[in-house]
Amino acid sequence: MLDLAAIWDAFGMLFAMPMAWVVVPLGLLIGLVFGAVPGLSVPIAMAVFLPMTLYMEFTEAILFLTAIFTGGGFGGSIPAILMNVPGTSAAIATCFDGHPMVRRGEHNRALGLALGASTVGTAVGYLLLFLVLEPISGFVLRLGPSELFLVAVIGLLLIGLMTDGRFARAVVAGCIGVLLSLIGMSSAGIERGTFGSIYLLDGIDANAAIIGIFAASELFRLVKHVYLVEAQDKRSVSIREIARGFADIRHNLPTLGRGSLLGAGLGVIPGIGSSIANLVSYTITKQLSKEPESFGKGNPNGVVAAESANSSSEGGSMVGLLALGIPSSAATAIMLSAFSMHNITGGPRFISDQKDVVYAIIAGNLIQAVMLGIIGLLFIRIIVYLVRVPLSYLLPPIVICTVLGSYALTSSLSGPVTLVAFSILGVVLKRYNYSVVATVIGLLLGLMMEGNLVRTWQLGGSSLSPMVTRPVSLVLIALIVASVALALWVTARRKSSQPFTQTGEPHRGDA
Amino acid sequence: MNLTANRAGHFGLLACLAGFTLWFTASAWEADATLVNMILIGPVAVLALGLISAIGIGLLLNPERDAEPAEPAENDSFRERWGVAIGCLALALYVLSLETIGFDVAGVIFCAACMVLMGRRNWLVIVAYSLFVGLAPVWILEGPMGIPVHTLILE
Repeated sequence: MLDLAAIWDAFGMLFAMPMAWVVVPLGLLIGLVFGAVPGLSVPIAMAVFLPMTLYMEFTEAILFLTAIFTGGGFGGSIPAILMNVPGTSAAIATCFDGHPMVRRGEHNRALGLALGASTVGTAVGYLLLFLVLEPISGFVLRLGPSELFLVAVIGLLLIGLMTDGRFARAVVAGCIGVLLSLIGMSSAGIERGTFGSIYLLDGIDANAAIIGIFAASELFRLVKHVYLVEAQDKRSVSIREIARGFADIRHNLPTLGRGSLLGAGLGVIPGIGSSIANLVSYTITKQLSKEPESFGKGNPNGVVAAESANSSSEGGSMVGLLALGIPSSAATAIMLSAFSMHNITGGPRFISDQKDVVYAIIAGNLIQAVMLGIIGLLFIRIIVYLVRVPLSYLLPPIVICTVLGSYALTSSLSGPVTLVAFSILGVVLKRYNYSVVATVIGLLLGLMMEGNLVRTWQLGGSSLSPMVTRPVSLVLIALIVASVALALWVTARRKSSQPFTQTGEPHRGDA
Repeated sequence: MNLTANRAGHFGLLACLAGFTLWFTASAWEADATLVNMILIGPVAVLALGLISAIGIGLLLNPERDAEPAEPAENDSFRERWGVAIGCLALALYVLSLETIGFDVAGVIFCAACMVLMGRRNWLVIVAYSLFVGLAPVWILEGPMGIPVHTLILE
């Protein structure tokens, strides 16, 4: 239940902290820059600026870090749209329709739409957090390892649905991703596929691999072009068009609402939420659309679906941190560090004892969403000029930043080497229409899937019976069966409609 | 059998994916053959190998499938044909040279080489831009971000 007195106190606290409204715009700007540069990321930004929070009040510190989180969430969509390079794994689905809009010369509108969806999505995510923080935290606590494993399987299968009939290839790519993620030392201390190298003991660095398989392989494709937008007359920069794109989200309200609700709901799930929320929202929007064939070719609904979901998942991911004291992502883990730096422990007790502080954080983030709209518009206004820069000037610094970013992540050459290996893998997989998205999701979720499967086995007394005895698991198994059936139906339909087509038009979902 | 370059490449990719799956499964099995270790690796490997075989058989039975690349070349220019391959090679050389000639010098050379490969010929611009793009990110990495890297020029 909402505590109105605590809400009143929270707003009073917010407006008594002028410093918070200095650090929040700064945090948004930092997040936008770190999110927009491939190779840098929100967790890096938060880690770099974490020491600064020592000199702030607790609420100011959390608002500053969440501002970086919010800014970075939208920032990641900028390279996804302009260069087909997702700044973060949460922006993968933004590429599918965002970049085709750019190739059509609709870069202003695409960025405006993404900003509008991000702003509303962030606000909806935190609004839901405001209303259902306590009940949701109770539900999350009831999710066992079998449910977490099955949710990850659904995440992988959903990719198959986006590949327009290349389900088998998508599943192969996903399986390879899962196997790659299991290289290194297991939780039981068993070395697998390390070649005896100490660099592989911790496994393949997923961030460097993702940068390589998405960013570098996509940048190689751009080598063949002279500008991001080939037609000179379409390289216009128009704040009016950006603002129109921002306002155009009113035409996509059902997609926006669905994406925001899905993102907030899935964002709650530890370790998975933000990575799959955008993909789930995109897939469902495509399946429900009257023109599913227009997706992947620049359908604005695709951008709205992906961006609203990944932005609202931020609010969902805060549930674990605030209600349970458990971080659900790298970004919330860094926020947990800020908690401990201020001698505060998240969890049910934190919510009951310091409700006004919790509400102040949530209300601050709602105001932050509005500020993102304003600062984001100004930021896009500048960054959209990239479409006028020849790629011969644009590509070298981006490649150098991605390589140095991967070095910063690992503090060794293993990051850049992983990046090179995965960029070549990405080029080859894309050439033969194997979904690199599935490989990435496999890489991100594989280790977690194994851990949860082992725990399910142990909890079931050397059997996987919890998967078929728990009601939530049964619902998830039904969803898996439905996903496979739908994917097989799409494959059969594609084969019957194109009996002699060998390759067909590559679907952006394969990107 | 219609063995075009594209189909041969696809068979090669399938062979590599199957080879990796077999090798990794064998490595995990050798390390520890218990069920707990193989609980995910085993089923995933079986699924992957089964699907790889099915795709391979499908390719053999359908000589037209994947005969040509999905994205045919828009024109026959050098950049169109070899751009991606040269890009991969340049990136690999850049990464391998980082610890040898330093992050700063490697960045400057990589930037200049890319600009030349992509058609720039104004040497003054190439030198000035490459110096900036090669040195500035390394300075940021070492300075504000505090991550030590091997450099030749920057301290």
